[in-house]
Amino acid sequence: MDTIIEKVLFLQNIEMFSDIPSEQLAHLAAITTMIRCSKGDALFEENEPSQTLYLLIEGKVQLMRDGKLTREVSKNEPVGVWGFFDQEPRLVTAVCAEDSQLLRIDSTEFFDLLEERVHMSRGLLKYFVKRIRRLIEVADTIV
Amino acid sequence: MLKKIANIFYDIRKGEWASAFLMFLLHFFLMVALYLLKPARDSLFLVEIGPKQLPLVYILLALVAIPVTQLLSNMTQKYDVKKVLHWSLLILILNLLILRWLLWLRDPWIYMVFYIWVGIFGLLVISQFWLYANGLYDAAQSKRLFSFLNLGAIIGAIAGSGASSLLVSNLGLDTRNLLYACIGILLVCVLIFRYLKQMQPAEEPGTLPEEERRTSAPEIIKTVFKSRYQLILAGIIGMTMLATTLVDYQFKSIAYDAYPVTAELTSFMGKFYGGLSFASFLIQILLSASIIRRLGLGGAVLSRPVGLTIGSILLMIEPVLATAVFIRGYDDATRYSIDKTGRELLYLPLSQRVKKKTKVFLDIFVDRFFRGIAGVFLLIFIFVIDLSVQQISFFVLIVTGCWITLGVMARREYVHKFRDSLSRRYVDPDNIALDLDESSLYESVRQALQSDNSSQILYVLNLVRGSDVDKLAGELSDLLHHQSSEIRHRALELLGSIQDQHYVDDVKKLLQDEDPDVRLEAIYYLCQHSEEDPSRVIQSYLDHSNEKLRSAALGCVSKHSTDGEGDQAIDESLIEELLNDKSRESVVISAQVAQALGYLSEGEKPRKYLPRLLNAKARSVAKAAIESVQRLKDDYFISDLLDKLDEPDLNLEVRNALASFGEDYLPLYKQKFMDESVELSKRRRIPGIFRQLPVQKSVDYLMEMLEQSNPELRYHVIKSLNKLRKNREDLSFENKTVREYLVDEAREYYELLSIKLVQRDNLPNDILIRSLKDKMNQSLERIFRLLGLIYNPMDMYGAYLGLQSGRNQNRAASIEFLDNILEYDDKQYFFPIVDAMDEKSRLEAGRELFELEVDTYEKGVLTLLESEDSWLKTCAIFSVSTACPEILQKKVYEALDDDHPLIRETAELVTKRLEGKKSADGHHH
Repeated sequence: MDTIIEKVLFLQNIEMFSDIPSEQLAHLAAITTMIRCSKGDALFEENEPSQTLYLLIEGKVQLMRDGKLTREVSKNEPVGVWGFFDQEPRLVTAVCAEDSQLLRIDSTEFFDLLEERVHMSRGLLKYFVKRIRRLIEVADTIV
Repeated sequence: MLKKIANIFYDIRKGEWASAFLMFLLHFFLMVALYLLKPARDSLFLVEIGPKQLPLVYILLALVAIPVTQLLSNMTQKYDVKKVLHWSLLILILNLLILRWLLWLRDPWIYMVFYIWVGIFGLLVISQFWLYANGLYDAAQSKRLFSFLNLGAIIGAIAGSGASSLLVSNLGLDTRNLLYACIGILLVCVLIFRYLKQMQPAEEPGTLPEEERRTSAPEIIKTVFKSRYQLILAGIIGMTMLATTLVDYQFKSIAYDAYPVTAELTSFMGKFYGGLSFASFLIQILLSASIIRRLGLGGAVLSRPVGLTIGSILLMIEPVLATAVFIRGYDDATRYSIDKTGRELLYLPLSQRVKKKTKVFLDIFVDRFFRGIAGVFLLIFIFVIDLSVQQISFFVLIVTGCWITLGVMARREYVHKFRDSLSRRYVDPDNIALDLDESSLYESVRQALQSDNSSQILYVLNLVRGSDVDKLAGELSDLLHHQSSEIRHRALELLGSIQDQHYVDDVKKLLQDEDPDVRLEAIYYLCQHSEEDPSRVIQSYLDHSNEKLRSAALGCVSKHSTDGEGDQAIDESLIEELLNDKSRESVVISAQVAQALGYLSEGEKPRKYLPRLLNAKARSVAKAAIESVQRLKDDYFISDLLDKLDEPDLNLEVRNALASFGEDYLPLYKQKFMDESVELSKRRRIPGIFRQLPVQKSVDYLMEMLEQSNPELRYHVIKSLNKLRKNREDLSFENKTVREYLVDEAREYYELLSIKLVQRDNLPNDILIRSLKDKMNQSLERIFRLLGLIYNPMDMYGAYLGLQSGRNQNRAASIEFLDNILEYDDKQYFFPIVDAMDEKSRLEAGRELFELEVDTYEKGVLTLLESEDSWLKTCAIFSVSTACPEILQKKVYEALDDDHPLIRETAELVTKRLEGKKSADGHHH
């Protein structure tokens, strides 16, 4: 996945970016970097500053908290979303459970892009509102 | 077959056919039943009792309508409308059996009862049918389908009238026996209705609270009186009944004089009703849809009273059977075609709950009540003042005048109602103003300043600027320790306006504040409130060993000194020394120097130091430098500012600064925007400068800038025009020019659609199809934004949001609203985009409007491969495979030399793919 268009094809399958017009995704693709990790490599550690978002192309990543496995991330899923957006320290440690390929997005470049591209901001807002709605529905069901 | 014929005249869409057809049939048979009864009722009454008793039955009919309305209204609120309609039909069948038996008695009162009963029957079944239809379809569906349902009624009326005439005059059936035929027809209605019910989910009976389910007559009247809109509706119904009852009397009197025998009169009435039903049919088929499309709701609501006015004038001149047939014929022909469609559309803005509560009341009670009033008038006209049929026309003219006035008012309110429902989406919370002299408000301010909410505190601090804040000194001094530097700064500014030295010690602590603005303001406060000479105080800070304090003092002198005092106090060596500072605070100090330079009155020092500070890496320094440029308004800095337009963090400040130079510089900005050698990232920011300058020249230049092939740049121009329109209503936007661009945008939409619809399966074109969809959505947004320059921008925004919403009701309300407020010429280009059910029919509409070149896959992709849109070109290249025509593959190879890196990169990828596939195929062979 070396070209912009291939990256766009991948990005549009990530739920978080699904409401962003494809042309805007091309701008996002331009600031991504492809990385490869071996099994056992840590993408980030708990309490580290959050400056990067990872998108898993191939492989498997495990999220651990206090040494315990909390979730397994699979293909087409983002890793490190919340810290990336709120810039708070990482809540979990992310470790590759297999040899993996990921796209990395740097937060400074991403936010610069967001300021420039209103349609991208709109698409992301839609995604977050959808998630909040879903959470409210779940909360309502529980109540 | 039936579908094909109906689709020529009506827009019935997938999924609507079954219910529309059954509703059509139901309406047809209900009208057959009614028009079997009507000639029988009229002839029996006129021959057995005489036309002079008509006013009396009109009054009795009104009296009977009161309890019937109340009962029916309660039933529809309490039970599902379907259930009520079903039971009503069964009860009416039973009634008919009893009536037929009573008619054997041949007593005059029986004919009176029969007349009244037929009147109630007509209202009851038709009103319930429409209440049911109103609930079944949303606003947009109603507008399309009601005309079709009305056609059922008209054909039913033709069939019913024709059958009554045939049965009585040709087959010799006794007029009274028409009731048996009617019973048979109603049984068919029950069967159709049962089938229709099975298709629709049942309404939940318990959706309304108990107290709301049974509403008494006074409560319903109160509801109607509370709503201006419903009152107008009631007025229209009332005027309709007054006018038509008088016309009915005129017609029947003239007809009775011409045909005094029962059988002849029944036959004439049957032929008459048949003839006018046929006229209705023609009006409905040929005129109704085009009147609603061309003249909108107004045309539909006004066509009947206008026709009656003309008819009454004719009747005044020539009171013969032909004229009476014309006026009564026109009235009935329009009644179930244009007028009925218009009237039912008037109910659309009301919620289903309100409709259930008041529609039956309006349709039956108000209708019959005014028929009663008409009866009273007729009694007076005939028996007291002895007016002739001809003279009654004068009164009819007055009534139709009122009717027309109410129709115009209803049209206005109708649009207003839809606008209201859309505008509820946006509430402007900033329309608040405080009068601080009010003691209660003063207390609120104190409380707000003591709250934990920072944005609230800041808001109040900005609000009280310029007011006498002495009483707030305590609260302000507390805020000097607030964690937000902006609050500390604002509180200090306000505290400075109070002549009290009590807070000097507190302020001295702020000299060490982390925020340079706070330190600057602290020095200013100390100069103002010190017992020493202020110039000596400031000098002591300018000579201070601490660089932070020196730079703050520098800023203070620049900001607060007058008549060049600052220029003298600040020498270049001090500036150099501060700018070369390498301490941890160097960024803060540089920002303060940048800020101070903006207050100098002579240009030499700023020209020397500001360009360097504008390009500083630290955003805070660059920002302060931009603000200084804005303050100085020296055009020496314009090119520096234009260069910084594409810096995401600074573009707002840069645009503000560029706008501050005034309208003389707008041609320069326009030139930069149109210059293709300037980077796109800078060009797209330029329309934003015009937005900051709300003057007519900004609008004029932006209009010229719309002449731009790049849709993204056009979007930014339109967006700025929208802002100007919203903020300054007095600015003039040339509608003719806007409309030309609107047509261009619509054409672009249809062109994209034509390319999308020729795409083939089994090609790597998913991303191309998605991108075409994105571009079409962006085109639609630009269309709405352009419409916002011609029409009320908030209306257009509300309608756009409604269309984007996932809810069908919102979409339908938006479409209906737009249909009513847009002019016909605007609608014809844009309406198929939002209203057409599927993309295929949308494209068909587009092809009728424009000559769209793309009709094959090859042409479609070729258009994109040759277009200026780099993204669509990229996606088109990516979609090409070995299965594509040679010419497309050739174009991909040509793109290897394209200037755009993204196009080149994609072309390289695709050519590798093509070659790989070809060599694999070669090996295979």
